[in-house]
Amino acid sequence: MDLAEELKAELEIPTAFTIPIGKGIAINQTVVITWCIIAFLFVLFLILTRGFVTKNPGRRQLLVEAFVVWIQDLVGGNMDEKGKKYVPFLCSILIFLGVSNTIGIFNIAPPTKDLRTTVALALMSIVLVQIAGIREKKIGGWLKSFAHPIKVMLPMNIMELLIKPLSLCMRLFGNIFAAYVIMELVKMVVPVVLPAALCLYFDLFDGLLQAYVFVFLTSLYINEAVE
Amino acid sequence: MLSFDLVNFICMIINILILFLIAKKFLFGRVNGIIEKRKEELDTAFNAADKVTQEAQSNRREYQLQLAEFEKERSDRMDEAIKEAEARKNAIIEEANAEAEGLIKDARNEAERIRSVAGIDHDKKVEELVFDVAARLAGQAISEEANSELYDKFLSQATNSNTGKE
Repeated sequence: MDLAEELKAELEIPTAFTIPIGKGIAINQTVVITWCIIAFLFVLFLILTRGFVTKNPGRRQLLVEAFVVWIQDLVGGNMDEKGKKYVPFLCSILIFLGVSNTIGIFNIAPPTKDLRTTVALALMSIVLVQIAGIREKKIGGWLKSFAHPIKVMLPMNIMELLIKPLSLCMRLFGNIFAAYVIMELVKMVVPVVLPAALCLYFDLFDGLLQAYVFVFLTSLYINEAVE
Repeated sequence: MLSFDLVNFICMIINILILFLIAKKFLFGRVNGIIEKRKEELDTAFNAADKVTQEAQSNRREYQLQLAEFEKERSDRMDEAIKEAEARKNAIIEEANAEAEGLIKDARNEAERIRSVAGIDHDKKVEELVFDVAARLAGQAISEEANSELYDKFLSQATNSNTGKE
């Protein structure tokens, strides 16, 4: 198999198992990996937040509290009070993306390499943005906001409804997929030493950076919607 | 190359929602809950401390008021006691004066009686002696014995002056 075919094969997400209903529902590897990530995070949250007390907290509790406060400030720092209620959702997305994007370190295919994941995330984000706008401005105000600041902007604002999620999902998918492909190429060309060094950038730094960019842009969109 | 099926897409949406619910309940909910609870406990403690401080200040004010009242009462009682003592002093003096006048009067009567018994006229010296004895009796606490001595002395002086002896 030549390099091009190998890369094409990397784009294909293999089916993990098939649910025998009707013609059979194929559940792909990304969904299963996401389940594993959810299970891992669930257990981690349970362990980390076990036995929390209000007085004389231990080192573990202090670290977890500091982390949660930090991540909430990171995400909600540039949002005004109206948008703060969406911070837990954005933080959850940030944690999920952070884990998903860096899971490549353990030689597991990142879920964000699958277009379905990024499309799902982008769609949910943009739905959340519109819900935030409707909740804040009511239906009438939300509809009027499409003609903001002048009526000429109406077509462009409507197009934004599609462009924003598209840019969100394509940026994330493109970055993670590109990093994955580059890492695979590097592994083919130089199998030792170099992949380990580059892995730090592509899997760790770039993964976390893209997670933050995704959440940061979503928070900006929410801020715009609730203004 | 890039496949997109709806079932796995919906599964991903459900997965993300489940992850959000888990994170909200088991991470953010718990941590924010404990931070909020700690904040409430601190607020309660601060409020209790404020309440205690206010109570202490109120007690202090009350104590100062009571102290002022006690001071006023003490001052009133002292004035009253001074007035009472003054009145009593005046009464004693008046009583002593009255007693002294009585004694002087008795002494005069006695001198008059002696004069009439002795048949002699009193001169001024005798009279002075009578006044002198009366004044001594009124001013000093003199015993019966001392009184007798004074009378004896007075009588001897009176007799001597009557007989021409000095």
